[in-house]
Amino acid sequence: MNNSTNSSDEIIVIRNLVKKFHSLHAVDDVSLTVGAGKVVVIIGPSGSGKSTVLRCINHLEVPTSGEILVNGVKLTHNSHDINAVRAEAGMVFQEFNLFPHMSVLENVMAGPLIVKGMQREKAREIAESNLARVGLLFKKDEYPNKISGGQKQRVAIARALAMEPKVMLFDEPTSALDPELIGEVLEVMKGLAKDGMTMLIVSHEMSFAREVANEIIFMDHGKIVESGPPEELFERPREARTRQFIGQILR
Amino acid sequence: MFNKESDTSDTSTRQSRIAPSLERMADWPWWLIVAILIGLIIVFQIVTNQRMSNIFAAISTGIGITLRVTFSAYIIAVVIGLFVGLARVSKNRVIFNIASFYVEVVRGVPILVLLMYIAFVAVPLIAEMLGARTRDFPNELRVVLGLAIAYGAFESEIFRAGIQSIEKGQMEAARAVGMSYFQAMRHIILPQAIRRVLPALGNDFVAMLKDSSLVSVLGVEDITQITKLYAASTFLFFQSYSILAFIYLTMTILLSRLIRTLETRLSIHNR
Ligand SMILES: Nc1ncnc2c1ncn2[C@@H]1O[C@H](COP(=O)(O)OP(=O)(O)OP(=O)(O)O)[C@@H](O)[C@H]1O
Ligand SMILES: [Mg+2]
Repeated sequence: MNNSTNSSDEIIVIRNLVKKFHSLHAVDDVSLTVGAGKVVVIIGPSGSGKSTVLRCINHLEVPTSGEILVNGVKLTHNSHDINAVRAEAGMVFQEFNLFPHMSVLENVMAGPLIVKGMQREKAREIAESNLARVGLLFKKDEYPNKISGGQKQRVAIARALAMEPKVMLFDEPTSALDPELIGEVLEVMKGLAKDGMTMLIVSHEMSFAREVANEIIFMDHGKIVESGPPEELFERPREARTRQFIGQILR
Repeated sequence: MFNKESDTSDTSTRQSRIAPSLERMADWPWWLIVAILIGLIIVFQIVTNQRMSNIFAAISTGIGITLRVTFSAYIIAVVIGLFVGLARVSKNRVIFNIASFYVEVVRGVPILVLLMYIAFVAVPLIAEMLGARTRDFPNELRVVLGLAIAYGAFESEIFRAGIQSIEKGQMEAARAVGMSYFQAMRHIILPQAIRRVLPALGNDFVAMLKDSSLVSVLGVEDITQITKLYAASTFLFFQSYSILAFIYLTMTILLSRLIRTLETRLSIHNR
């Protein structure tokens, strides 16, 4: 295989990924690549395997078969590689999953301190600059239960950024938010896109996808039905299933 | 519980002064009033009656041993409980099964039987293996070991439940920033789990204080053993055992209060 040519500009390479839960094919032969600095958005109905693809990338789920490379490093069961890849791929969850026993600042410092074994002062510096990046430096001493959902998600983004990842994975980052709080999170994500961050995003925020995505992937029943640039996929979907789904979410 | 009841007694006396009624009096914590009265009578007796104060003086020489046994067995039990609790949530089947064997066996045997088993079977066996003599292991050490092993199983269940009560997303988020399983346990899961199980751990501390009386069976001179000997030689059964019960009750109440204060202090400190 020609990974050597790929590894320089492809941050994520997935080849023939299969993930089975017992007899259920949650992900069924998915291949995709995300180039450096590119934003790829995955859409699809509930249960189509979007989260599972993301979770396989940093090995929160162990793939049944197929090949995944993150920044040129192939994922195996070797735990050393797994931790290395996890540090390269920041993940943001639908439910935020902030650490409730730590302040906002400590949440963001946790990775650099614990994983990288960084000096406290250095970790604090990095944490503060990332909190500033998501506009929440003024909340650094609050605890997660004292801030809004949108702010929680922005802290979660800062927490992932503090590890200086090569790619950010977002799993429906705004689905658990009240409508009026969605905007601030999407703004932060747009900022990241503008700064050239590579991102793989599961989201149904159409106008956001249209604005920042280089590519949209439509998944159904564990398979990629079709993919393409947003204007093409949204305006002129080739497959009937895609057309139907887009009709549903635009309504 | 003690605290709560006395609070309600305050409010109900205040209310009954405004509108005295038999119904209000029925709500009084009569059990507490009776308990306090009996306690006061015993204190009064100890102070004024020479015979009672002799008994009290004799029994209280064992308080040190009772506390020493309680504290050391409890600390060992919590350490055992923490590691066995971790083993019980481990994905490693060998580790899980070894831990489960320990927990299920120990929970299914009366503590007294376990104590005797450890003191008379396990320790002599270990002594033989080490080439030492059984009496090189003092009785107090054996009973501390026995109580610790018994309570270790209980504490491990508390830790296991606490760890499993933490949402799955916490471990995933910790792993996603690159932490290893043990880093995530130590820095993310356990600090939250321990805070949740603190009340249960506190309860078992008080329970341990009471169960430390079992060591008297093996001749360790705690307050129960001393009372047993004292009563048998003086025939003052009623007085001796009343004072013994009074001492236990006082210690458990004080310990419960102390633990509750520590708990509130901790929860305030952490937010
Ligand atoms: N741990 C698991 N055990 C068993 N089945 C699972 C597990 N995780 C996911 N599945 C199943 O795999 C399929 C794909 O799930 P996945 O969460 O990837 O879908 P999704 O596209 O993210 O859906 P949603 O939009 O609801 O988040 C679903 O049928 C789901 O029930
Ligand atoms: Mg999902």
